[in-house]
Formats: sequence, structure tokens, C-alpha cells
Amino acid sequence: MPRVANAMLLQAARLAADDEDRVRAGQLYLRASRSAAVRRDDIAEYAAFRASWLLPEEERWRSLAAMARASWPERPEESVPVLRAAFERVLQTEAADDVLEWALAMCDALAAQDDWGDIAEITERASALLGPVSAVDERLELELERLTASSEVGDDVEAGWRALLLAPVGRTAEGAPLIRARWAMALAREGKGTLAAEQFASAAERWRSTGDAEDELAEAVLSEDVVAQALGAGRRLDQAGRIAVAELRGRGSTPVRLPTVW
Amino acid sequence: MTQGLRAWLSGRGWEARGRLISAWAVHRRAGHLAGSLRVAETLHDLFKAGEEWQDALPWAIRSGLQLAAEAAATELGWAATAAALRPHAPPWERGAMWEAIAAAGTDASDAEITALSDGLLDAAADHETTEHATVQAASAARRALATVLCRVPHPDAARAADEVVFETTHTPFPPRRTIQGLILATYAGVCDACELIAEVFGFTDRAHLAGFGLAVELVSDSAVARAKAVELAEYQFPALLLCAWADLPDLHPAVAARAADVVARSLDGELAGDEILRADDRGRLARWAEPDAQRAVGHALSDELISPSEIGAHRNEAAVGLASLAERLTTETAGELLERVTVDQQLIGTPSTQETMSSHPNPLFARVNMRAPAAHDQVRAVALRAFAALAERACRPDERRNAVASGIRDEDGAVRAEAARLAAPMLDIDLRAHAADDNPLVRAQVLIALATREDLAPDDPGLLANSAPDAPLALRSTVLRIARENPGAHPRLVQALRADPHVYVRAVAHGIETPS
Repeated sequence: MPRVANAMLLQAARLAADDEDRVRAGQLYLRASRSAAVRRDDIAEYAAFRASWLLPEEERWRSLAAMARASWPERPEESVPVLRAAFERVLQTEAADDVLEWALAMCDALAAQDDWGDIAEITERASALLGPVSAVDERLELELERLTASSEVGDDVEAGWRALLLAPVGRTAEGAPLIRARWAMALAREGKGTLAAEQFASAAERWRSTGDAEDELAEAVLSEDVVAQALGAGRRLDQAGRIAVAELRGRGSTPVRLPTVW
Repeated sequence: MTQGLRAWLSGRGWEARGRLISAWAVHRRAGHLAGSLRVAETLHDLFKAGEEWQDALPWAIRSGLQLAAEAAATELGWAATAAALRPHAPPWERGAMWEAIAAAGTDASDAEITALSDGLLDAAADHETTEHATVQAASAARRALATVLCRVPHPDAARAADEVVFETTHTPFPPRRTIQGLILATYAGVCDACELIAEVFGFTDRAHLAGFGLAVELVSDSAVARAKAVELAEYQFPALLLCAWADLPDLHPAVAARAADVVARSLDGELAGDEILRADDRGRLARWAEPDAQRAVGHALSDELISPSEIGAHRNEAAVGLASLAERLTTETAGELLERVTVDQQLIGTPSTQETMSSHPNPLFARVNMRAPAAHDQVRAVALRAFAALAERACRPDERRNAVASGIRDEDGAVRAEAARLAAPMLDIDLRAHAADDNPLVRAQVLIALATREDLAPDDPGLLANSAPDAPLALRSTVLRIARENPGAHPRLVQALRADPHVYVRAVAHGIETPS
């Protein structure tokens, strides 16, 4: 229940502020902002703004960057330079958690601008610092961004995708379908319809076996159908099939399973 | 996504934008191809609703919406469209990108066209998929080639022209974009598609196409095109109209007889379903009708022009038809119609009271709602043209001259431009004084008139000033035409036009010989 957890974080931050523990309060607000930003929760910008009142001068850049992360969909031209500055700053400090946090924030914002060259560059530099992927977490997400961006700029990264699938993380219940779905999407965008359809089908099969992942299963099946329509490869759903798959996507929120910071 | 739509419905566009882009990012990070395309389309719809075309175009391209990309690029122009193009885009985005080029590529530079040509030619070579099922990427690539055809680099130019011809002859839709590209390229001497131009305008009503005026010129100047138009005129109504505007019935009695027959049947209300006769076409065809029929058509057109209850477009067409017919009327009929127009000039000066047309009185059930601006300045301008033509035919030159002299001082630019055009042979009317008119249309007509009078110096400052890249395209085209018709006379002007942003202007300018 991330929303409940966030509410508790905000409450804790308020209490810390009431208690004059400004640094602690600022850090709690930042944690709330980061968690909320993953799901694009309303409070991401609010919590970052509150943190800016509380953090000491030398840490205030974090709240500014958190505000940029919360607001890039609305104000990309203002937010991206702030995020970039944050990323460059933490890269100097070599603090792994910080590098991961701001590299991923950059990836989201740059992808919306189709700036794949910059994503490739950022993820390469961050990955070199962070080392190999070991679990279904934000490090995996960064690796998926790196492979996607390399594919977008025309590099051959098939070996990278296969290595990720063969690694322990690629054989976990949630890692395997997520990696396959991302690879399938990259393949489809490269125009490799048959391979993309295979990977979407494989992702769907794995989501089916994990249970309680109807939304993901539906998205994988629909994506395979899109590949069939756009690229002429793979299975194409008939009308009844589309209705049946759409029914799987019954919930009004949280439509995806993503690695979270919790 | 749901939160974004809720925000949109509540009129909170800023929040809808944030929510929907977040939804797109979530789908992208989860590997949901279908989801990301769904949200991309919704984002396009949001930006389109807000008329934020700069944002709408990338989302139209991301979701592969070709026609939406075309609409956004038309609004944006080339610079912003070029920024949204990506050479390594996914296959479903390319059709949308090419449609955007088709819409806005006329201002692409030679270097940009060279960079785009290979990709466009490769895509255009796909002749297997057709547009019969849906809008297709290969067709969009061929339409994009049509837009830049004038400046496709030499080794690829012939291939590009072939692809544009293929699209023109195979599309199930009126080939508006490709025929315009072929007309401009033919005029610029890049290719010769005169026969095809005659065929297309012979089969398809010009309301669905572009470039009719230039097409008529090209058909008039080409023997094969004239033959094709005359051949089609026997059974294709648009071809009969094309022949009429190219004055081909004068040389082909069978076509003239058909024109007269159509006019006679129009007066009896017995036109066939495919014989859709606009007022300007009616006046044109009546040039070859019997004198009684000409008189009846002349009065009908006058009625339409005079009536403020007609929409502006209809009054405009009536005036064009009347001006066209006037040249062939008897002196008596011309005099009669001139009296009629003179008596009712107060009504001609009254703007149309009707500015909209609707398919149903209740707006909720009206499938079609058409805005029909009164465009009263345009109506008055063509009314002046009709008046002048009638006065000339009625042998009343003083009335003609007085009307033109009065028109040149009119408050409406369109009227002044028409008066400047008519004043070309009236050497006692000083046009130099109007060469710096605020209205570019007036300046264009004054320059043409001065060129007709041979009153332009080599590289006349008036010409050079109006060839700047920021001058309206209509004005640049005018000075281009003057330079083309006087090769060698304006070398600096030609040099300036060779660097014009528009592909057509550059292409024609490069074809004009200048002293070395």
C-alpha cells in the first residue's frame, strides 16, 4: 500500500519538523517524494517543495531535483536541465543509490523527448559505476533503459538482452516477463516483428504463470496483437479475443508491476 | 490514464498532460507496446484539443496517426516539423513522419531533401500495400516525395517522379497532394506530367484537387494534354470544364457543342447527377452557348452576385462566371447586364447576410456545419472584374476606366489588387505610386502590370524588395514569374530566388538562365 506508506512518511516528516529536527524532516519529505514520483502521485511535488524549506543549503539541490522529477511531464524544458545537473553532481560523489535515482529520473524525461542518445550515454556511465544487475529492482530498470536506448540509436544489443535473461534475475518470476516485454518492445521498434511477437508471447506466458498479474498478461497479449497489426508478424486477436483481453484489465489503477523503491 | 482523462474532462489540461505523460512513461517502462500507443494517441488528442500543435505532432507520430500528423504539421510549418523527424523511428511512426513532410516539406532546404530522399524512395518503392484498406506508409512516402519533387537531387529525381506518378494513378482518393507536386515540378521543368495532369483534372472535380489555375496553363501549352482533355470531355464532366477554362472548345466544335448543351440543360433544370455546375463554370461554359442562353445565364449570374442573401463564395463564383462570359456576349446583352449591375451596385456593396451553412437546423443533429465567410472584399473585387469586362464588351470604355481608377483607391486590398490588374493597359493610370502598397496582393498585381507595360528596370528595386524570404509566397511567386518571362533581365533577382525557402521557387529560379 504505497499510498498509505507515503501518508505515514508525510506524517513522520511533519512530526520531525514540529520537533525542530529539520534535516530529518527534509529527508522524510524527500523519501515520500521519491516514492510518490514512481507512481506519479500528487504528493511528489508537494513533498519535494516542503523539503526545500527544511534541508540545509548544501542539500537543497535534492529538493529542487525532486521537484523537477515530479513536474517534468508538465514542464520538460525547465525540468530536464535540473535533472541533468543532479545526475552529474551525484556521479561525482559515486553514491550508488543517488546515481540510480537520478539516472532513472533522467531516462523518463528524456524518453518523452525521444532523446535516446542522451539516455544511452547516461545509462552507460551510471551502469559502469553501479556494477551488475542482481535483483528485480531499480538497477534492473536502469539496465533495461540502457539496452533500450542502445537499440534505439542503432546498436546491436541482442547479446545484452540474452545475457540479462540468462542471469539469475532473468529467471525470477517477475524479472523474466518484464525483461522479455521490454526486449519485445525494443524489437518491435526496430521493425523485427517476428522476434517481437515471440517475446511478447513469452512474456504473456510467464505473467500467466505468476498469478495475480492479469493486467500485465492483458498488456502482453494486446502488444503481440499490435505487432501483428503494425508489422504483420505474430498472432492477431479477433474481436472476441480483444474483448476478452480488455476484460482482464479490470482495475482502474496500478496497471503495472514495476520495481519500486519500497 | 484514468486520472488524466478525469483531469481533462474537468478542464484541468495541465494536470491531464502530466497524468497522461506519466501513464505513457509507466507503460513504456513496463514494456507495454499496446498501452504506450493507446496513451500516445490520447495525448495527441489532448494537445490537438488545446491546439498545441508543437506538442501534438510528436504524439501523433508516436502513435502512428498519419492524418493527425499531417494536420499538425500543416499548422506548424517546416522548422517545427523537421525537429520531430527521426531517421531511426519505428516502422509505424514513419508513415506519420512522411505525411508530416508531405504537409510541410515545401520549405525544406536542399540539404534536408537530399538527406530525406533515400529513405523516402525506399519506402515509396513498396507497391504491394495499397490504401484501399487504410492509410499506408508507402503512400505517405510518395506524397512526401511529391511535396519536395521540385528539388529532389538529380540522380533520384526521375525515380521520385515515377513514384509520385504511381501514387497519383493508384490512390483511391483524389490525388490532391501528388498532383500539386507534379504541376509545380512540370512548371519548373523537373518533369513532364502534362498528360497525367489533364487526365486527373479530367476525371476529378477541381474542388478535390489543388493547382487548377496552373494546370489549365500547362494543359493549354501541351499538345498531348490538350488531346487528352478533349478526348475525356466527351464523357467526363470535369474534363469538359478543364477544356472550357483552357478555351479548347474554340478549336473543337464537338466540345463546344457539349458545352452549349450543358448550359441549355442547366437552364431547363435537366442536368445529370454528375454535372455539378458552379456559377463560375456555368458562365465559362456559356461562352459557347446560343445568345439567348448566354443572356439567361448572364442574368442568373447577376442575380446571384447582387443578392446579399447568397453566401460570399457563391457571389464570388457568380462574378467570376460573369466576367468570363462577358467577353463572348453580344454588345446589347453586355450593355443590358452592365445597366443591371450598375443599378444594383448598392446591393453588391452589401456584405452577405448568410455566413454559415448547416445540414440540419438543430445544431445537435447537423452532420455538416460549414463556415462561409462573406469575404466581401473578394466579392467586390471580382464584381469590379465583371463590371470592367461587361463595359469593355458594351463598348463603354469611359465607364470601365472610371471604375478601375476608382478601384485603385479603394479601402479593400483585394479591390485595389484587381484594379491594378485591370489598369495594366491603361497607361494614364499611375501604378508606380501603388508599388509600395501595404497589401502584398496589390504589390504583386502592380509589379505584373508594370512588367506588362515594360516599365521595370533590370533588377528593379521593387522586384528585389518583394523577393525576400519573409515576403508572402504569392508575392515571391509573382516576381519569380516576372523573372522567368524576362530571362536575363533580372540576374540579381534570380540569384535571390535561387536561395528561396520554397522548393518550387528555388526550382524555377534555377531553371532561369542568367548572364554569366
